[in-house]
Amino acid sequence: MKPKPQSLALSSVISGLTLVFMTIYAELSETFKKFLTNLTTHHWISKSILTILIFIIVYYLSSIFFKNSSPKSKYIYLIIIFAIICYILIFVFFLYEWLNK
Amino acid sequence: MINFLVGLHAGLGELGSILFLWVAIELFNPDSKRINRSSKIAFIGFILLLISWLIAGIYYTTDYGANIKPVIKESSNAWAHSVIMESKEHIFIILPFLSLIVFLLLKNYQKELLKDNKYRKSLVFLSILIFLIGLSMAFLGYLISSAYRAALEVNVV
Repeated sequence: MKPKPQSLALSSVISGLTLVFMTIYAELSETFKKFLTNLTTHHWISKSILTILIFIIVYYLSSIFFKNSSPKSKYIYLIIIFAIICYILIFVFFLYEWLNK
Repeated sequence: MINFLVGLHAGLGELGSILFLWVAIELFNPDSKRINRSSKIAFIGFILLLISWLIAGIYYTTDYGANIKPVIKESSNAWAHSVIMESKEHIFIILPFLSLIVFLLLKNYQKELLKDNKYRKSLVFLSILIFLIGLSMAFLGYLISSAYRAALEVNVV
């Protein structure tokens, strides 16, 4: 069975944004960071595993709703735009934190 | 002490990223042979980025946290950890997902690449983005290594 391009786009966007959320919120909330650390042995490992899980879950759930279609450029550009947004958000957040320390 | 894992992480990560530049070049003027080849290259690139991610995890949670991070944080270049490493360790996670998507699309939608020029161009841009993010990871890694070396030199002097 061919992977559905819409589901790949949606799962990459959702997992990327979740990664950004976990990264920023873990820095702002010590409780959340401890929660992530307790899940595995390190908050970074937990973020990595959760991102993989969210990617897989969103992909399979959205596959139920999306119809089979050929890949469109708009799906790929959505992935590109959100990847760039995630990159910038993470970098700017840590820069902001550093400058305001 | 030089850690073998850092070199392996950087080497595999860069090789994986450069393979996506190769994928983009193959897709500039594709035919079925080139698309088939680019699919295999993308798969190797994905595997290399995946291994690089795992090695980064082992190194980051063991050696870096215990030995490198405290030295950098105590130095005048503490930003190299607080801004650069903190960003790098999280941004890198995006790369294996992007590379997996390129591989899956190349593997499963080869005919569409020949028919749909807009789709082909978008896949070229995504491959180039993977290459550029990988390149930026190497640059951020260089900044962290330089900050660590500078901190060690100050301690020695």
